[in-house]
Amino acid sequence: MSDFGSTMTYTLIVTLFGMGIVFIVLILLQYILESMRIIFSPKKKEAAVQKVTPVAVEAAEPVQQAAAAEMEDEEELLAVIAAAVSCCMGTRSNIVVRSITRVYDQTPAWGRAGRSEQMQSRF
Amino acid sequence: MSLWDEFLKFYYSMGFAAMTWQQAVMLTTSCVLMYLALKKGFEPLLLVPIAFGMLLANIPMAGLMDGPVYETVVKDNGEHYHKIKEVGGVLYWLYQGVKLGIYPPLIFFGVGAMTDFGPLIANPRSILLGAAAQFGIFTTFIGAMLLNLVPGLSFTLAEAASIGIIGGADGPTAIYLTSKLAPHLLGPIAVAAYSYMALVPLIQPPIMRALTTKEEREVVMDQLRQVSKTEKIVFPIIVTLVVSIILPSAAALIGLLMLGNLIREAVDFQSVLNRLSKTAQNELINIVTIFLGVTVGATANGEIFLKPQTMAIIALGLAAFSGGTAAGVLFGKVMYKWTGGKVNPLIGSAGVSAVPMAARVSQKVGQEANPGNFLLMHAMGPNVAGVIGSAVAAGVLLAMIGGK
Repeated sequence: MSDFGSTMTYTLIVTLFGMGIVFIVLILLQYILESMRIIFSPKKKEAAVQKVTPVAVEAAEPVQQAAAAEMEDEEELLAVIAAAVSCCMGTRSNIVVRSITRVYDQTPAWGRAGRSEQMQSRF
Repeated sequence: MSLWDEFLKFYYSMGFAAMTWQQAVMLTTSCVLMYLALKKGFEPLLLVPIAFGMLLANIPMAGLMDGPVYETVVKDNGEHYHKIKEVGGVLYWLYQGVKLGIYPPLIFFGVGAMTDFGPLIANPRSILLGAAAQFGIFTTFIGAMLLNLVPGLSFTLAEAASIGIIGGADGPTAIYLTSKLAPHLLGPIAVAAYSYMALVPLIQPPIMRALTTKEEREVVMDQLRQVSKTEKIVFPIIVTLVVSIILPSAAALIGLLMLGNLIREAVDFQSVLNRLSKTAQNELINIVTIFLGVTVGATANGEIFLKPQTMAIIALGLAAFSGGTAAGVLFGKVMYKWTGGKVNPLIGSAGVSAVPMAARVSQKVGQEANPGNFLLMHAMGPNVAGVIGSAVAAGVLLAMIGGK
């Protein structure tokens, strides 16, 4: 029985060590990854986001008027579309969106099936 | 009468006469596994070769897993040499790749070439969830040792460690560690590991729902940042250096995993590498999967498989999986509190590797609570961290128990 006891003690030691080392190694990797971000990652992204935001607000204004009858949750969608358009054209001037028509998906069922299969197989 | 004698002679050369009840049971089991793989879609890529290997190994008198037989010949001048009498079965020779620990690192090479570590690099904190989920390995290790108190069951440290690694939910790692520590248990452990990996979508959700509140499940996480190409290139090199220097015993698995990943990411710099990347992702991993599956299945011969031990292994494997899932989710809750509600605890369960199934389960359970929530990419972080975590755990077990 004391033999069993000593084996169990060793089992517990292995467990403590094992979990400890797994955590230490992965925490070490975490800090390395954090520092990698600081060293290598460019900081352009935040600037780009700020540039888009005012345009989106400006552009969203006329859209809301034009589409006053639209549903509440669709306003957000319209704002996004307007922002994307103005971003694409590269202008900061006031653009007016008069109408947005939804174009339904024309892809045949087989095409859609193929596309979704492609996307599924990525993961 | 000589016609009858000839018939009897032929009859005894057939399998029927030599079949034992264990072999009959194993043949049936392999057919059930093939049904599950083909009809129910349980990890068919692996379960079909494993089940067929099991079938082949249990055909009486075929001797596909028999080793070579040597004969010692003494020459006139007193010199001895060994002459091959029988060359051995084809599966025996293919099995050497498992026994010598060659196939699992090769599989990892292909896995590395298929894995995008981007989500992990973008959110380094999620690596901790990959560590927490390894808890299942060690609780099962203790559990297996405690089963020594049950009469009729006995596990050595090496065997208990091999059973525990099922909780890593990582087939190649489980096979690698078992082939080094307890090769006689390869059959049951591989079958348990791959069956439970196929059952991840059934095992995990109840545990995840039980341990989290609806509010926690509804958490929408911030979008992941863009990861630069340089980071993706540097990542495999650094991980290999750090992990292999701390744990040389994990170098084979981590090294090849990261080599595959480096080749994958370096394609953007040197497009010629695309050839290597494609081979690693497709042909190489497919070929090795066939060899690995068939030969691991072939280790499941009736006399070894049909023991109370196997039932205990299958039960412990389930405990290992559940333990890992629970530990991951609980640690996810800790991170939820810690970050003030920015981390959805559901991504914790993806810390048990099983890439990408476990991440998909997080996504699905998260979407049940909040249909507009997309956790998949957030869950991929802990998910790929789990692969590194279970390889590290295997390295620790190998280093501490391997020498015993």
